[in-house]
Formats: sequence, C-alpha cells, structure tokens
Amino acid sequence: MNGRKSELAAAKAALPKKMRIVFCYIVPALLVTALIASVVWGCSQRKKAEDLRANGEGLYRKTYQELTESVLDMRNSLSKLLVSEAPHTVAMTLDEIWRESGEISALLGRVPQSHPDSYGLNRFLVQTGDYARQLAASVLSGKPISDADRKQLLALYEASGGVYEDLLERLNSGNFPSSPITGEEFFSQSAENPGQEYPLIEYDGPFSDSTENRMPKNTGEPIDRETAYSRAAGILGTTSLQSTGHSSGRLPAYSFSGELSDGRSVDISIAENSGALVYFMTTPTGEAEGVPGEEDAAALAEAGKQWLERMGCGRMEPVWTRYMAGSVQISFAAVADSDLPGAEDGILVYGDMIRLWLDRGTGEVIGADTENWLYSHTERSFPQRIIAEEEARAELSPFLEVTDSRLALIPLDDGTERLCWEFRGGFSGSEYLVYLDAGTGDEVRISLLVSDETGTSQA
Amino acid sequence: MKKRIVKLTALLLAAAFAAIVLAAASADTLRRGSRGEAVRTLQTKLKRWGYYTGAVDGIFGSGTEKAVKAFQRKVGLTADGIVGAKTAAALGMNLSGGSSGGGVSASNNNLYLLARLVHGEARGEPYRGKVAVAAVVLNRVKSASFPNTLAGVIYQSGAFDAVSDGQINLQPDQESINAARDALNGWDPTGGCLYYYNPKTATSRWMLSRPVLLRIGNHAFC
Repeated sequence: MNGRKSELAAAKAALPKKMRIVFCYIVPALLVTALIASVVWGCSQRKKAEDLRANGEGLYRKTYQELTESVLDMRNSLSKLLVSEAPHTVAMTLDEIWRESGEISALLGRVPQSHPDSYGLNRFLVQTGDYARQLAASVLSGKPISDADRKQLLALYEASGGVYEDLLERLNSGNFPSSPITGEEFFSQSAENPGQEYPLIEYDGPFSDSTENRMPKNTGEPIDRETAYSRAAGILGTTSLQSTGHSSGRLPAYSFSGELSDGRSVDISIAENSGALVYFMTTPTGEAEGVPGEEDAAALAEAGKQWLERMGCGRMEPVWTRYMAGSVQISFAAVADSDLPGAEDGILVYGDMIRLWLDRGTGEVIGADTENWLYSHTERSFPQRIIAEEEARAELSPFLEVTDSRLALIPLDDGTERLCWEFRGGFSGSEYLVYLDAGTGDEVRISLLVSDETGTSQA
Repeated sequence: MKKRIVKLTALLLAAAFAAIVLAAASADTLRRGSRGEAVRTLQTKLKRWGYYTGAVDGIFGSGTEKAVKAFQRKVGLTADGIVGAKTAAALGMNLSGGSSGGGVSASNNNLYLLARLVHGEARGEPYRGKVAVAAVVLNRVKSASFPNTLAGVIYQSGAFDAVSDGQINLQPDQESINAARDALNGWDPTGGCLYYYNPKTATSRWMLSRPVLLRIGNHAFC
C-alpha cells in the first residue's frame, strides 16, 4: 500500500509544475463544480417539470369544469325546449342547443381521454347538435315539431342529465384523467368506465348514422380476381401486373400494381361489385410547371372528356382544374340531358364527380379516381316545373355581379340532392357560386371560390 | 512541432466555422442562380403584386433579380437583389428549410396544418398513402365520434404520434402539401376510414381488433 502511495507521489513529482497544478487542483475543482452545477440544474428542472405538471392538471381540471357546466346548460336548454310551443322560441332554443353541443364537443377534444372512452359521448353530443339544427330549419320552414321528435327530445334531455351527473361525480371525486396520453393510450379503454349508453337519434343530417353509412349506388354482379385482373390489364394496356390485395368495406375492390410498357410503375383498383375502375395512378413523363395557356388547357380538358366517354361514363364537363409539376388534375361532373327550360346545355350533376390526372406533355390520362361517381351515379328524374332563370336571378343579393348561370343538381349534407340555379358571380375581388332552389328560389348554398397559383377550388 | 499542430488545428477550426456560416447563409437566401419551389413562390408573389412580368419557372434569373430590387426599393430595404431574412419577411415568405413549404400562403392555415401532419406521419409512404392519411383526418372531422374541427382532430390528446413526438412541427415537403390539398379537395383513397396503423409497430388490442379495409404502403386502414 505504502509502495503504491510512494509510486503516485513519485509520478506526481515527475510531472512538470504547471501540469501538476492542472491535475491536482484545477481538474478536481472543475469536476466538483460540474457536479454541484448538475445537481442544481437537476433540481431546477424537477421544479420546472412539477410546475408544468401542476399547470397542465389545472388546465385539464378547468376544462372538465367547463365541460360539466356546458352539459348542464345543454340539459337546461333541452328542458326549456320541452315546455316551449311558439315556433320562434322553439327555433331559437334549438339553435342554442346546436351551439352548446359544438362547444361541449370542442371541450371534450381537449381532455386527455382514450378514444374508446370518449367517442360515444362525442357522438351523442355532435348528433344532438346536428339534429337540433335540422329541426330548427324544419320549424323555420313552418313545420310543427312532431310527437316522434318530442319523444326523441325527451330521451336526449334524460341522457344529457345522466352525462351531467356522471361528469359532476368525476369532478368532485377527482376521478378524471389529468395527464397527457400518447399514441397507444389513445386506443385503450379504462377498466373503471364500462361505457355509458346513449340514445340512438333518428334523423337525416351530415353526422347521422344513415349518412355515415352511405353505400355505393353503382353496383352490379360481383366479379372474381381473374376478371378484375383482365379489366385492369385492358384499361392500362399491360399484362405485367401483380395482385396487391383486396380491400373490403363499403366499396370492396381488388388492387394490382405493375409496370406500363415504358417502365413507369402503376397502381390500379377494380370494384368487386361492378368491375368498374375505382382508381389508377402512374407518373407523368415531363416536369411542366406553372399554368398553361388557354389553348393547351382546353386540349387537356378535351382529352380527359374523350377518355371518360371511352370508359362509358357518358358526357362529363370539367369543373375544377389544378396544375402540378408535370400533370394536371381535372374534376369532371356528369351532364344530364333534360327538356327543362334553361337546360339546353344539360344539367350539371355535381354528385357524379370523377377526378382525372393528365400528363401535361402528352395529354395521356395518368390517373383516375371514380369513387364519388360509383357512390352516387344513378338514373335521375328532375322536377317538371321550375322557376325561370330571370325569376331566380331577382332573388340574388344586389352585391353579387353575376357572370354566368346554369342548372345544376347539387348534393346536400343529408345525402339527398337538389336541383338548383347555379349563379357564378363576383363581389369585392372574390368569386362565388350561389345556388338557389330551382323550384322555389330559396337560397340553398353559397360557395366561395379560392384561387391560388395551382388553380381554383371551393371553400 | 507542437506550435505547428496548434496552428493547424486553429486553421481547420476556422475553415469549418467559415463553411458552416457560408452554408447557413446560402440555405437562407435566394439569389441569382437559385432554383426550386421557393423561387416559384417568390416569383408568384412578385407577379401578383406587379413587380414581375416573366414566367413563374422556379429559376432566379435577371428578371427576378430586377423585380426583387424594385420590391426592395419600394419597401425601403437595401436594393441588392438578394432575398435574405429581411426581404423574405417583407414578402411574407419563410426561407428556412430551403425550397420546401413553397406554394402555401400563410392564410391557408388548414392546408398547412394538414400537410405538416402528413409529413410527420407518412414521410416515406407512397403518394396515395399520404393522401389516405390526410383523408383519415378529414373523415374524423366529418364523423360524429371525433372533434369537428381540423385542429381539434389533429391535436386530440394522443391521437397522432407526430403530435406527441413533435414531428408535426417539421417543414412539410411539396408532396405532403399536394397530398393535403388533394384530400381537402375531396379525394379519399380509404373510402371513409377513420383509423390507420402500422402493423409492424402497433400493439393496441383495440386497434388490432378492427377489420382492416385496405393497406397502402406500411399502413393498414380501418
């Protein structure tokens, strides 16, 4: 032992004086300072983390508090509605319920609750608001609330009371999640909450069960994989395709991928229930950029129209166009023939929409998405009597400077369609599409057109 | 000998520092000879405001330089024809990240937010897979079981890994922006799916018990 000590002393003595000072004093001093600094830093970080946690918990508690109060407000509005009779009071209270349900749904999205634990409540809230909105529109159009609606409103009042009691109990006992959740936890169900039952709301609206479970109208005889393969090979003009699977769901389809004759890769899907093309996509051959001149743009649209006719989709017209590097995406809407006055150019059917991608250099169709068309295309009948274009035009806002008009069948939120006069016009530097019911002249929808460097779309 | 090593080390350090400074400077400026999406955005803005009359071709040539100088004179900046931080700020452009992020105006918040999520969640996936991820987000907005705003769905606690791990804050590339735009314009390759997961990494029993409707790239959609 002594021997080792003396060896160390000898080694130290052998070092130059400056180095000795560095190794014997400065380095240990630095290490001690670093240790103290890291302990101080660690403590301050811990304090910061605790402050953040307390802050986060406070925010979640505040949100829970607001959530509980808002559910109580909605329950109270539902109770007032049940004892109201005058149409204007009923409509105003229904509007209030719609607003409150939106507020509660937004608050629910801010609390850290797993998706299976919260989606039932969210669905109940959103459908209650959606139903209230539909009912308000119905009351405003002069229809009284039916007995079936009153029964449904009573069930909603009772259910919202149950939700309020549950939230209040959780709030008072501190039994609510208060720390952020991560990916997997989003899909885990807490054992202590078996899930509350909510009434099924029967109505037609954008969030109703019937709208969400819409099925394709364009169906026929089911086909097998081999037939789907032949169909895909026929459309693409290539046989170097491999099956990449089968997708089930509301629009079951066979998928293939492979190569075109020039080596470009391609993906394609064929509908199982009709053999129709659902989707295909390959890459453009060039890299053209910017927006082309009118002549080139018209030639691309014409190439798309002809391709759709060859595919058996009938007459279609381009409605939206977007230019990308090397390709252009054009949305085509079907055109239905009609003898109605003002329908000389046909009626534009927005539900039957097909999106095509064309190569800007060659005009070749390099992609298609026909899903909307497959969901909605069917034989349609139009009302026999409509108001004249001039009569509808008189109903427009005086601020709108009309540049064009035509008849169009537009899809509504509840899954139905309405024949409208479509007026394109400008106001204060922006462009709009205003739709008036072709039967009554009532305003149905207003779309703002948003243009950017790639094209125009609706907002 | 020792002195020579010290000198050499100092020289190398100085050269590395200069290279880093130069690289940083060139990444954050647009000048004559620059190319790409950021130049296209610059030309589009200058054209819209009447400073530029040439083609929007993504190439910073003499015409673009003249237009930049005219713009700089107009707003009281040094008219050097180089788009640095000050000029970019005056133009309402973000140059960090080079050419990515071009073609999206600051006012189009929803598009940009969706593109950032697509970039964070589906980088490396085929284009259709990117559109599908964006479509799932929009299907959730339309579903009664989820919040009814885009931000509400994206920032719902624990809903997306890209939000939890901060990848949503990365600058999206042009393909992610195009995919988000396609989904916002109504393209839904999933046929209404509300969920997706990577079968190689997912462990949630709830998620794995749901029937898979289609697979695109590394994601199963249900």
